[in-house]
Amino acid sequence: MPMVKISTLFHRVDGFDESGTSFNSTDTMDQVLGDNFLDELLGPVEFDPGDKLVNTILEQI
Amino acid sequence: MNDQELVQAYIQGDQAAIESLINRHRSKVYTYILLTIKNQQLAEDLFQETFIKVIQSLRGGKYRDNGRFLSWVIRIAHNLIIDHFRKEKQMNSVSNDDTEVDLFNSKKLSDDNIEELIINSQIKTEIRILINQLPDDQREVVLLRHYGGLSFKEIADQTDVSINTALGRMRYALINLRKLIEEKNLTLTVY
Repeated sequence: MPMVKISTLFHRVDGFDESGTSFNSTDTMDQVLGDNFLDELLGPVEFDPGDKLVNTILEQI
Repeated sequence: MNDQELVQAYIQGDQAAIESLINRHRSKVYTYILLTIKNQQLAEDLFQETFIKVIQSLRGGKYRDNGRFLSWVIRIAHNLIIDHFRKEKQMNSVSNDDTEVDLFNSKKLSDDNIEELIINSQIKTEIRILINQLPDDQREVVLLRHYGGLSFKEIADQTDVSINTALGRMRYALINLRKLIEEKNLTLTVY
């Protein structure tokens, strides 16, 4: 089989210089997974302050 | 009406709009405060203070709407909690750790039967215990992210650390929570 040489270099295209920015797909994926985990864990955990407390605030307006 | 429309309506004099806003977000804000400070009486006081400050800020034209009303309210609550602990530290007062919370005081559970109510309470209690076992800085990030929907940049600004530190704290919090869940053999699914 003939050998094919593939360049692994990426060349900057004018107008798309991203050298000043960073993007880490692992971090983004971690955040999504983390948020999903927290939604599952803390989703059922909500406490209500009760109407009385809310009415106390509204009376002060 | 969405939050932005309700805020505008309130600013223009519609008193019912603020009631709708408070009722829409009251559970998330209250839970955030309660899980942060672990004291029901104090949580109620700070909940009141938070919304009084919200109202004052809206009236004073200090709210710049970016479509994230809840995050703004949570940031106000967070600042009031910090102020409280600063004052408490100065006064060298007693511990804030009070685990006596009315677990049945939940809007979500109001229509459930007793059995479900008890199971839900047990799950909530176990999760609260898990959250309370996290170091303060990790718990802070978890609660700001989940209940307030803050971005990591906002969390970093709010807690006066770098974004990398905020991300790192979240990463460790998740590792710790997963470890605790595994140790206690907990199942997260409620139903």
